[in-house]
Amino acid sequence: MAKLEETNWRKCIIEQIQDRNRNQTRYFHDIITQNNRLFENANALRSENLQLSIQNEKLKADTGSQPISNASGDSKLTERIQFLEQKVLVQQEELTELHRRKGENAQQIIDLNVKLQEREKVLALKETSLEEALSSNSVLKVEIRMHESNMKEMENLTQMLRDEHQALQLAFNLLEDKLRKVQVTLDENRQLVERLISYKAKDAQKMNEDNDNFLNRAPKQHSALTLSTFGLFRYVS
Amino acid sequence: MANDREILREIWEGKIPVRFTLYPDEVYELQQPDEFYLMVPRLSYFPLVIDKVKKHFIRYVSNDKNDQEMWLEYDGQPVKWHFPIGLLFDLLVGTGPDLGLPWHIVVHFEKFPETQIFRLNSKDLVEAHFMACLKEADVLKHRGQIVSSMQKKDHNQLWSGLQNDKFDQFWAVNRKLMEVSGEVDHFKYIPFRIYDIEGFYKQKLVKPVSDEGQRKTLNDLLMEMYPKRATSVKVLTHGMFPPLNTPLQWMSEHLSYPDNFLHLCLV
Repeated sequence: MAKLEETNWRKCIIEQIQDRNRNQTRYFHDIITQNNRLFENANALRSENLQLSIQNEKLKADTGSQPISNASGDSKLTERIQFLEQKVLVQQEELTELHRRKGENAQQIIDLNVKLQEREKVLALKETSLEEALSSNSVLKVEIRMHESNMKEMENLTQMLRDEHQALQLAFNLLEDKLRKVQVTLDENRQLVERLISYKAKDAQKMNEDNDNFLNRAPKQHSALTLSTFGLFRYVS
Repeated sequence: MANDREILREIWEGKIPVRFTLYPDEVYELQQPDEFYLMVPRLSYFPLVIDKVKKHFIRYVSNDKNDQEMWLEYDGQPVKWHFPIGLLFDLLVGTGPDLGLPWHIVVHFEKFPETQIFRLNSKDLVEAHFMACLKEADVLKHRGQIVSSMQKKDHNQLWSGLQNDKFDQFWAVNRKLMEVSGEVDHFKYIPFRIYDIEGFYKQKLVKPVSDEGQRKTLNDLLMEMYPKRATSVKVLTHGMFPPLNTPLQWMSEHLSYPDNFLHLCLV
């Protein structure tokens, strides 16, 4: 009984769903897929159409710019046009070449400017170093001059000293001569003194002898004492 | 165990045809833009599927506005795009023999209705919202044990499976979230949200079995939620009305959206 019931409600449900799918899905499925496909096709065709019309316009524009040689076939004109076209082409090439060269030149100018600036910098550096050298040079020159004057002064001084030295030498020599002469005279003097002394001694001896003789012969009144003292005195002097 | 692959597969494959048009006042070009048709998966989210739509329409709006955010409108109301698309469709269009398919959505680039919908301008934000719902559901079902034991790689696989509409990739991981753990053969609570017609929803803790151990059905859920008018309401989900005697456990395993919630619309 339960089984039957179950099959009943299940059957009822599945029938309804199948019915639903048939009514709502299957009837429409094909037609809508078809529609979608047509839609895509139409879109693709539309975009293709657009592209084609653009191409068409382009072609039209191209042909419009070219001379349409009418039925007469003006070959001379077309030839001339071709010639001119070629000329234009050549000119264009030249123009591009020139443009390129211009660009290169501009680049070169820029490069050279950069170099120039570098050089200028180096130059300025050199100039400053030169200035420094110059100033140091002048300083050194001044020093040299100073030293030179110093030297001259020294030279003068030495000259003077030398002169003086010479003068003194001369004086010295003179004096030495004198000294020598004096020594000679001194010697002579001594000899003379010695001779004088000896003479004197001889005188004294003689006088003593004379005295003695006198005393012996002369009166005997005079005290002996006084006579001896006197005699002594004479001897000593 | 979520083992009824036939149902899961059918649910996964549910798609809605949508017709996008640009709001006429915002057209800047002389030419009116063509309408854009798209099949969108019911289980996915709008921010994931509208890249192409944006690319298509952005050419037609003025340049100074095209960096503004795009938003969607249906029937004069901004579309709450943080809900799954299938839920939005059930809520806004409903069901019946004449749904007016394809679903007509108007695209806007100006006057973003900040007070009514979230800005989901990047897929990361949608992913964050999705993962948040997933985790909430797992907390209700297994106290959050499964989702927190998963690796970042598994989370990424879930998300990219949903994003790229890969059923096997998604269910390889989602299967673990739908398993019941231990001896009991049911979830702790059923993660579900019941939406009323204005788009507000209610949540409540509802167990998949009654106190006596009997399996609860959708009817029991409605009795718990709306005791007074349970007999007069019907529930719409995935574009169909599940029978009232469908067991809740089975519903949660098979009819949940990828965020693991049952999103039920009250009719």
